[in-house]
Order: sequence, then C-alpha cells, then structure tokens
Amino acid sequence: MPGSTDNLAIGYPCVGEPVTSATFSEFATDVESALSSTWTVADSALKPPTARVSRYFITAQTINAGVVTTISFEDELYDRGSFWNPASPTLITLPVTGTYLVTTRIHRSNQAGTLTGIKSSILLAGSTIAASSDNNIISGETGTSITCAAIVHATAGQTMTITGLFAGTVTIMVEGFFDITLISTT
Amino acid sequence: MTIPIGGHGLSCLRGDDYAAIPLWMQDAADSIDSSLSEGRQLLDSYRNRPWYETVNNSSIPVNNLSGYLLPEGAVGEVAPRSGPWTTFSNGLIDNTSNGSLPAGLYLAGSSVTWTVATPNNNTLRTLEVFGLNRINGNVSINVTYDILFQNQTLEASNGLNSLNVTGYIMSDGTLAQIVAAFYHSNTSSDLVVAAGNWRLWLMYMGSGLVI
Repeated sequence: MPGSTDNLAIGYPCVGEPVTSATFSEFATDVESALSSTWTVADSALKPPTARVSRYFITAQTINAGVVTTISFEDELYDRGSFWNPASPTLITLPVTGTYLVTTRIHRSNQAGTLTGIKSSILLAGSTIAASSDNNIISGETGTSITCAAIVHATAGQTMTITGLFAGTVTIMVEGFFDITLISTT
Repeated sequence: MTIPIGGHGLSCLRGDDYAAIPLWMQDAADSIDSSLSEGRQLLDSYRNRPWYETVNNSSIPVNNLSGYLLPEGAVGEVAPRSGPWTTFSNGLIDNTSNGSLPAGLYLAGSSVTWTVATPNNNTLRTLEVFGLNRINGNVSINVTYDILFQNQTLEASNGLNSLNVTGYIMSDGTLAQIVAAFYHSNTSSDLVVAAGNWRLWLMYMGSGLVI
C-alpha cells in the first residue's frame, strides 16, 4: 500500500486504489506489528530488571571486629534479570547498562560481644559508591542495623557487593538485604 | 458518513460508505499511530527516568562554614558549590542559579565518607539534604529552605566514618535545587572528604499529581 503513518508505518490505500481482501490483511498485519512493538516497550518499562537478595532466612554471617567483610547472600526473594547466582553468593551482576537504584541493610542478629560502631558500604566493581556508619549504639542490643542507598551507573556485566565493618571486641552475626531496580537505561 | 467508535479517534463505516474505505483506512491508521505513539512516549519516559548526580572530584576540607542555614557554632561544607564537583545527568538539570525543577515526586540522597585527623569520642557529624525553593524560578526572589532529611553519627575513635541519607520530595514546582550539607561541631577535629567520597543525587519518580 502506498501510504503509511509517520511513526509506526501502518500502511493504508490511497483514494482510487483498489481495495481487496489483501488490503485489509496487510492493514491488520501492520496494526498487529505496531501493537506488538508497543507491548514490548510497555513490558520493558513496567517490568524493569529488579531483585531482592538476602541473607536472612537461613543463617547469619560472622563478622570479626575490625575486618571489612563482604556479605555473602543465601537467597533471593525475587530476581527479574538474573542479578544473583548462588554459585557466586557475594556478587550482584547487573544485567543491562544503565542506572540502578540500590538500597541495602545489614543488621546484627546476636547479643554477644561489645559493639561500638557499625558501617556498611555499597561497592561497584570493587570501588565504594556509598557508605553509612553509626556510632550511636547500645552495645549489647540486637537489631542494630545500618541502611545505605545510592543510584549506581553501570555497564552490563559489572558486579556489586556490600560489605560490613564493625568496631568492638568480638565477632557479631549479621543478616542483610540487597534491593536493586533499573531506573534508566542511560 | 462514518460512526465514531470509542475515545481514540477511530470510526466505522456505514453500508453506503464503500467508496470511502481508503479514506477510512487512512484515518484509522493515523488514529492508531497517534494513540500508540503517545503511549510509547509515556512508557519511554518512565523507562528512562530523569536523574542527576554530583560528585566531588578533588579533596574537600570540612572546616569552613558555607553561609547556608546551619546550626550556630557548626563548621561545615555544602554540596554542590563552586569548586570541585562533577555532575552527571539524564535530563534533570541542577538549577544552581535560576529556574525550577518540574513539579512532581523525587527521590534524593547523599553519601559522604571522611577522614579525621584527631578523632574524639564526642560531638555529632551531620549529613542533611535540603531544598532551595524559588518562586516562579526567579533567583532574585527570596529563597526559602526546607530541611528534608538528615542523618547523624557520633564522632568516635573507632574510625567508622560515613553517613548516608535518602528520602522522598514532593515538589509543587518551586523546588529549584537540592543541596547537601555536612557539618560537625568539633573545631579541633579537621575533617577531609577525599575525591569521589561525597555524592548528591536526585531522581524524578513521576508527576505525582495530587487532587
């Protein structure tokens, strides 16, 4: 058909051109194609890569005083984009290039030992993007937690980790969450 | 004469409109294209939400009060200001001198890590994000400040030395810029923020229309 629309190239006959069943078939095919491509955009926009990975429901992780320790995750509550692979439990692998919103939390799950401060860091390819610490702590109390958030600009395949560090006298047990969502492909 | 169908500009033909079929098909094609294209623009906008981030690209000493509204007696630093900042963005502009950000819902945050020459077990370090509001985007009208969110930690000798803060902002169209302030009250403990260790970011979530 000689005519077509500006954006999605839906064809149509011009005045005086014979209209046959094939004309309608081509028109329906073009509309179907336009709808399908639009649904692909919608799917991408409304279902971005996103994941929540945790070390919470199974066992806690030991962190020794004064030692920066990479959190090793055990489970994923949801993972659209295959961010986490249990074969490499400390790594979050970014599936597409773009900007991600990342929020993390680690918290203490035991009471033993003296705790004077706690720090958590978000790293991209081994470099710290964001960090937070808290020195206003009641030493023997469980539930001490530290949260951290950042937007991260990354290329597909780069990996992220979170670390914990505490100041005190003995080991503590920690649990944690890592939440990530793609917010922009730029 | 065609019969309108639905609310997207489509129509159907009557029995005596056979000769108008090509025109009807063109009209239908254009209406479908227009409706789908409008929807795709909105989806593309949502898929690539605007943001900006600014990061210090050289070391910053934190012992000079900036002149912004900070607690009396505190020494501090404000981001961004003239000096060593590199800004990255996806369509969101940091209006340092004029204009306003689009009305809507934003997520903002800041993260800072510092070193201190003489850590003592006293005083607080504070990181806060606040907004500068300009009426109609006019820089000559008095600017108002809204402290949005804040996080604090006690200075301690254990060397744990970072703060992170995040929160939502609903702007009615007068928000011109977000600013982060980092300050403390111990003038005997000079702080230094190394290059790349202070970030301030802003992300547009949506129009957030409230009726």
